[in-house]
Amino acid sequence: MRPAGLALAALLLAGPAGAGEAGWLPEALGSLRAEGPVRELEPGGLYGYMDGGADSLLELGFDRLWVRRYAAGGEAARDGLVVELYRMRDAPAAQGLFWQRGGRDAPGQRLWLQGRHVLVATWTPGAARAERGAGELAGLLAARLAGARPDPSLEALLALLPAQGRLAGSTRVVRGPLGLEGFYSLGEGDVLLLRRPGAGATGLLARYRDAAGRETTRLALAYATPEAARQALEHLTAHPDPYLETLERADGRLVLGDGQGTRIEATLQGARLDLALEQVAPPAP
Amino acid sequence: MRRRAFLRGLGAAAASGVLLGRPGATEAPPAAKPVEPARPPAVETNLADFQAVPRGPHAIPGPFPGRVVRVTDPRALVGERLDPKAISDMFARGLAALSGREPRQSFEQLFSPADVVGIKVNPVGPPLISTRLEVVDAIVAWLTASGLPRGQIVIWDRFEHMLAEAGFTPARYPGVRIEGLQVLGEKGTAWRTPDGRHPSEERFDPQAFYLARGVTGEAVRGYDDLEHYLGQHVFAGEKSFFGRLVTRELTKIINVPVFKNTGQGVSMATKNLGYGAICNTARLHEPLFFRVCTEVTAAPWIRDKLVLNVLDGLRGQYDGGPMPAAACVYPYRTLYFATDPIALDAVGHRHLVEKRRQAGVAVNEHPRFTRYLHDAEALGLGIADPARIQLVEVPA
Repeated sequence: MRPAGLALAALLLAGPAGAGEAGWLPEALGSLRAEGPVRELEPGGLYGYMDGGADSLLELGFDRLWVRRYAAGGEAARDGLVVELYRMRDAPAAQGLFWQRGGRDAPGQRLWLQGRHVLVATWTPGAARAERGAGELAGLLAARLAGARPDPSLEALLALLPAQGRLAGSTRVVRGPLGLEGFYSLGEGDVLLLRRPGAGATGLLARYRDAAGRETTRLALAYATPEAARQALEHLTAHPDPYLETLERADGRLVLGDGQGTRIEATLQGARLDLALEQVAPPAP
Repeated sequence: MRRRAFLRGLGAAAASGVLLGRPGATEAPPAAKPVEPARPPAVETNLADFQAVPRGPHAIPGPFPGRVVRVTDPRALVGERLDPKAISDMFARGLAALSGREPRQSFEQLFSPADVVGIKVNPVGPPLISTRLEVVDAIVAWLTASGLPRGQIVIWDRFEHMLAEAGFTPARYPGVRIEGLQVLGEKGTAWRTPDGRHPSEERFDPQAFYLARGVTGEAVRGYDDLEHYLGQHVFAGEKSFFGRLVTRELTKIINVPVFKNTGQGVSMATKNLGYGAICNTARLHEPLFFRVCTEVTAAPWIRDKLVLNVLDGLRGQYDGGPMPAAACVYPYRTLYFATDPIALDAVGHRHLVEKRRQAGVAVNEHPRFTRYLHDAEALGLGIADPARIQLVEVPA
């Protein structure tokens, strides 16, 4: 996380909810000027802004988005800067969005994450004034640097999987069927009951490589209760995708295979359901 | 079940009418008490009505079924700078490789000077991953040099404000119409006018719609109620109406999507039209998603007018899509050409999966991410079978 993210949190926490965030996107960033007022989008407005991209944000837990466009006097689309400030339902949702958008800075984009908030500044790579504007934004954040307390819900999420051996850029937050597809298509609909009101789950997905070069994809799901986790495993046992066949089944454990050398093992431990996916044989020709 | 058996099941299901929404061949699940229904009920659509309309002379897959041309040129993007001249040159070479003709002859094969040609761009995610202006510049230059008046060219998308945000403005394209199917209200920030009227209502054709039985705007995630949903979606019932621009004005369509992912699938040729030519789409994402891409493309107003697809891969995005994720954007310096949108998406999907593997991103190759393309092939809309696709590589 960028240190400036701490400043963002301090700024956002300082003002009243909503008004503070909207007012935070300034009229000017370096030589760039805002093209218009801040556009505020609630969940129902998200499809009109990003169409299909809305689905995964809503699944993660979207609350509000403020957008402001800045132009440098040329063609706004070519030379301008787009700043998006997302407020998610909670810190795990914000972390999920941060990873979904790449999880790091890259030519044409800077990302900040703190608490429930993610700030994304996007420009055409090589547009120097826009890039300087993004730098100005970082400066504004740094100038108000202040401490922020770690979010316990995020710490609990991150503790679900070990950091050692994790492949860079592979970590995702899973809160529904769309996120689950990053692991495997285990079944139709909400086959792991991730979205059940009051009994759903938040999970952490990541890929690992061991010393021998063998790769495993792991998904750890934390359910609300042990009973909810048990029901999720039962549901998967009863309704696996037709692409899958059951290889082993025991109390609290299920092993599935896809006939293409993929082996998926699900293990129940209290309120936690762990899944591990390995390619144990080469796919059939 | 082995994969081949599974795929055979899919083919049989397609042939037996699963495309209309009946469930395909599946294994009986083991006995256990379900917590809730595992499979949502299949959705009936009006695809059969589209199929019943006789095909027009220019219907997809057009004169080159299964043929996809890939042009890659390192000059197109040097550092972070796009080179309009190199991109124009790529366009000319790609078109020639697709048609085997000179530019003017290619035009005459696909268009007449009387046509009203709509260029469907993808303006989502500017300035990083939307359709590049340089590609559209090359298309407009080709059309006008071939004798099509600028006033008969329309750059279009579903949302008018997105076109402007992506740089498709009258100042950039003088004399060319730039039009969204759906517009914001008079203040430019709300979907409806203060008196509750929806300014976009008359822009949709009540006679032309994609029907998804039982799927409405009610209870779509993100909306408090139906009134809330209607604000953005103009209509909220079982029908998604096509834009009048598409059904009544355009006589030909050039589709210019970008090379990017949406989850484990692609957001390329068929998605650009499937979700770009109709309203009331949020209701369709969860129950139908990829089916919409090809079933809307199967409608006569698209099927019989779509004559060319140019896939903008000058920069590609292999993950994080459909929104821009710069860490997953890379210089691909490539344009694809096809009259067959199904073959183009099939090739695009394969190339995107290859890129995801190279980048170390998780790949899920479940058939659900390409099944809609095979279904479209069964309908005669194009070729999805890799063995029947001809990929023509045009080097620099």
